[in-house]
Formats: sequence, structure tokens, C-alpha cells
Amino acid sequence: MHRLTNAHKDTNTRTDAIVQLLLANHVNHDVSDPLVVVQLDASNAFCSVSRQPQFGVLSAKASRPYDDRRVQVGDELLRPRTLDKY
Amino acid sequence: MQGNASTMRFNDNQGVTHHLPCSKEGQQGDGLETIRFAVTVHPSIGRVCEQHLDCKVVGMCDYIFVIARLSQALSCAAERKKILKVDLDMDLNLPKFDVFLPGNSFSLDTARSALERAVRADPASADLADGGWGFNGWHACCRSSGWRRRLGADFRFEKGTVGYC
Repeated sequence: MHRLTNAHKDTNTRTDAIVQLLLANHVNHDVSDPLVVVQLDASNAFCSVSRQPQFGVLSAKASRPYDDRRVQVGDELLRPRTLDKY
Repeated sequence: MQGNASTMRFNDNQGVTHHLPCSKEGQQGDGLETIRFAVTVHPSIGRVCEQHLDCKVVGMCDYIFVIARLSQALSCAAERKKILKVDLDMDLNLPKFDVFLPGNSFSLDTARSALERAVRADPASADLADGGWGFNGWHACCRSSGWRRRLGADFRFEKGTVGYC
């Protein structure tokens, strides 16, 4: 699995290539509300993400509210079946 | 492991191994960390997508791309910022918040005006400017043949291999 990260010196080149591909077929732009690509990056992501949601996904059941309370405690969470072996 | 101090280890692009103190969470360099991270974060990304069906979203580990009209994309990004913080204790890296505008249709001034209008029109989008990073932190990259500029300043990747004027 390839991870886009600044640890690779050509990451930004690859990001540019992806963005160009995504926008290549859109040539007509509304200046007041154009089609854009917004890129978000989590800060210190791997070291800051909470463990509790991971256990929730593995157990396929929410142990706390999520998504602005659209997911409540006890609600079923989607779990990839391939995770069963872990 | 959550909350336990540990030592992060990673190899940079020169093959040099670094050891860094880590206040909490997993070990970078552990191959399973990528899977664990994706399994934890991507369901949350998907739930936000359900609220923004006009947006196309691509998630690659901690990178998220939102493809949509500017107003819709900013609204989606603002909600994503809030949900990631509340649900996962994750902060967006605001200095790396990029808005890409394609082609030659937009000058820097046009791009800046479009961003300002979109933020003014949607209070939720204005939340993206909270926390001290302000409008100058936005990278609006106007693409044309081989050049790009950041709003308000010349844009140069710190570690990139592509040159910019």
C-alpha cells in the first residue's frame, strides 16, 4: 500500500498528478462557484487518532455516539468481513 | 496503548532511521498501523459523505480529497473537520489545507474572491478559518502550464521536486 506523505520527496508531484486526473474532464467552470479539489490532511494523524472508534469498528457496534449523534450507542457499525481474522 | 508514551521510529526518504518521542498512540513504522488507521477513520469519512452527496470524496489514509463545487466542498470540509475532532480526536493540518482550481480560468484575484464569497455565504465554511490560521493559510493553487501560486505569497513546496515561480 502506498501512502502519500512528505516523507517521500516526490509526494507533491504525485498529489498534483492525482488532482490533474480528477479535474481533467472538467473544462467549463463557473467563476462564482467553480469545481475544485479540496485536499485535507490530518495533523499527526497516526499518532493522534483515538483507539475507541477502532474497537467499535472491530466489534461492529458503537460504544459511544458518533457523527454528531447520528450514530448512537449500540448502533451497528459497518465492519469489513476481512477483519475477522484479526 | 492509547495515552502511553512510546518511541516512534520511521525511515525517511534517504533511508535514515529516526526515533522520536511519542506521547500516545501507535508506532509509525508498524505495517499494521496503516490498516488500523484506515479501519478506524474511513467509516467516519463515509458517514460525512452521506450528508454531502453532491461531493465526490477520495480518502487515502490521512489524506482526503473532496471534489465538488467550491461552496459544497467547503461545507463538506468544515463538517469533516468538526467530526474528525469530536469522533476521533484528530485535527486537520490547516497549513496543508489546499484548494485546487483547474485550468487557466482563474487568476489569483479571481480565486481569492471566489473563496471569500464562499466563506461569507456559508457560516459553516467560516469555521475552517478559525483557530488562528486565517485566510492566508489557504493554498489556492491555480494550475496552468507549469506554474502555480499560493494566495498571498509565492508558493514553494518544502520538499517537492517541482519548481514554481
